[in-house]
Amino acid sequence: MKKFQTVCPYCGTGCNIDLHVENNKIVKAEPTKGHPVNDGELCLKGLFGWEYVHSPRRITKPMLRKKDGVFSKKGKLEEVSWDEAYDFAASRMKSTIEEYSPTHVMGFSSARCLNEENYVFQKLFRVQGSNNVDHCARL
Amino acid sequence: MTNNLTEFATDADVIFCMGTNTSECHPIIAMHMLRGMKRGAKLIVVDPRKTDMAKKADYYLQIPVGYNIPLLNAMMNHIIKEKLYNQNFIDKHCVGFDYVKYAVKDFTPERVEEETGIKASVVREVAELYATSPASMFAYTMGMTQFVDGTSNIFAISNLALITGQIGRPGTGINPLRGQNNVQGACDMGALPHVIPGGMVMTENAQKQAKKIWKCNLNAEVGYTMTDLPDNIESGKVRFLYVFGENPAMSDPWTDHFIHSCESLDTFIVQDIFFTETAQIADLVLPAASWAEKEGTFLNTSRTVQYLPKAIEPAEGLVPDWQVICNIAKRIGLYGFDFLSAKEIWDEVRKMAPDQFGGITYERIIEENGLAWPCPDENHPGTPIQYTDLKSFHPDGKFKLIPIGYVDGMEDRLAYEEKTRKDLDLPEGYAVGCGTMSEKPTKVHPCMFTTGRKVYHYHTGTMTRECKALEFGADIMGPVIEISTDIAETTGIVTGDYGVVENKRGRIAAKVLVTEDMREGTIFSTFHYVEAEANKLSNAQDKDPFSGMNPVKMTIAGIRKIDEKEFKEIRNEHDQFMHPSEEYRKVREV
Repeated sequence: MKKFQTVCPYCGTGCNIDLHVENNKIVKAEPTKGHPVNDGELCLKGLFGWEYVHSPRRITKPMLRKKDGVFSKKGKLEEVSWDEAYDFAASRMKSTIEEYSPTHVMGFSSARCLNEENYVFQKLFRVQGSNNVDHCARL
Repeated sequence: MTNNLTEFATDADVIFCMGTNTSECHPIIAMHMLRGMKRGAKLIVVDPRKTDMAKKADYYLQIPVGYNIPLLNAMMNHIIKEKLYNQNFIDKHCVGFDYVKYAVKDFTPERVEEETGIKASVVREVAELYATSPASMFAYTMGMTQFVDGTSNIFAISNLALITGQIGRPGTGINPLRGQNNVQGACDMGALPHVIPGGMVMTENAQKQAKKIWKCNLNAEVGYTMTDLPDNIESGKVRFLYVFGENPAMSDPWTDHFIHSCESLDTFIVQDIFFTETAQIADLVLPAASWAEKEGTFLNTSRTVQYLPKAIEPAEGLVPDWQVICNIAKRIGLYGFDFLSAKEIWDEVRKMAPDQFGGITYERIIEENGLAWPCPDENHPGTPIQYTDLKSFHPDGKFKLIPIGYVDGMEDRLAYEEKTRKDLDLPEGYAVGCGTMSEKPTKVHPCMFTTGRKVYHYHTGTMTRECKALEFGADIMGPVIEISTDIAETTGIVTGDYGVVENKRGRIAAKVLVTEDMREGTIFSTFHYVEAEANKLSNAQDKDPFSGMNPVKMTIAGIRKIDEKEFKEIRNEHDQFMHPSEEYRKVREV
């Protein structure tokens, strides 16, 4: 069994958690002893809120809305390859900017994802000339 | 937060909580506050709901929803009348004390008593306690910000802290308790329409840094906010939307408006770990690795950068969100997305904003158990407490006191601002704030509807509802509508009845809990449950003039009793794939 000191994925307090991992599965969460933020204590979400990581409802394949094998707003979401997913995302973002303008694209970033991820996300929009980036700090 | 959250336990003599349900939403911060109380600190709680912390408080003021500015101004009125302000601090470090005197002169503690029933003597006592204690620490959350006067509410807190000099020392300061694990980080990383790491987009420094490190010209015009998005989609100003790691189809106010507007998008991409309510209406859904499956950093509410290791391997094919984003960027042909690790990205952040993050390396974060910005170089110890030099971020280093008024209706705000500017002969560009109610109860919608959270769940439940201990521990019934006793009397609803809350934007049905803990005329529910989701009713039309925020905490609504048949009909309207209530109904019937 391995133990990893990490940070709780829930509220902004930033409690430190020792995750116990066995066979690539989280089996237990314990408060990190003596940590300045939570001093060996955790709330319910910190103690029991890791199970979602192993939920069978996690999605693992990209999905694209298709009808008769091609993208259609009226279609249904179908599993596609990463290659097709990346091509779709990249070409649609590029064509929207070329056809309209950089301000016709907008990104909604995540207050529950990493600093590094928020950084590259807003960079993606800004280097193409759009400041239309926000996240749910307000909500 | 200007200060560190542990100072509630170690340093604060007075803890002033306003619009925060701390023990449910930030249990460990509540723990620090209770430790502070054991040490002898006094706790003051202001909230329309008598929360657990309110029950433990030395003073509890049950204000009506949104009655924030009149109360804070009345406290300042008393502080000024009794000369309890910090003259030395004001003279040396502030501008605009006369503006505050002008703005608060009509707000007496007696007026608060007349308008709310809260005793004037209590208003005076809490004002004196806050002003005269050696260290008073102010804490707030969205019960202060989610209004059409949210920014003015915060200006009012800032005025109060500044005129009493309760800032820049341990156990003082202005302390928003951040709701999500990395709200602070998302803001600092530039996930906002007006700012990048390095400063506001129009500033010389931000422009210079973008040119130097991103090799591009940064657009100097502020972008659109999320609250403007539905209208901007409908008018064709936004045609491509990329949502990552959030669920706006539930968290946005007036959710039907958001969902409907998304139909007009040319392209709608959602990146998430679950097939959320938002993902279900997307054109392209991109999966990603989750929290325990990737390395990186979060920034907590005390501005402390903390490290997360990769604890487990994600399912085959899944990579961290940053890799998905970079892969898209590279396919577009963009420069500067060849990162090989999260650490490489962080090192670029440090170059973009060296004054803030320059000294915060991965090695130091791990070794020192987190580091608070600003930390400009590798020998700098970090900054757990801001403003210890008593200098603001303004060029002259002075703190600005802002005149904040309160008027009867939204339409009166402009006139107040104009009159204040004229009366005070304010310098150009000096802010004036003004509070008001965004909606007033009517005959059809006689109640005030407000939203919040429960200790078991988090935001729209995408993660916590997938954890059995939390989902079933919360309440086998799922969502609950809480109402005050006077509403129970007029509607004949008793605890356990089914009720439907409705207004012009939508309706939700759930079991009702009658509670004495709520200010009269108030209904409360959460936005954790898709099957009865409070944001269906929230006001997305009115906005804060400074931030664009909608008054999510204040919506008018009506409530009536319904039978089980109607309850099931309404529930069926709202059931979606992600968390269908059918599953929980089955559990209930066992």
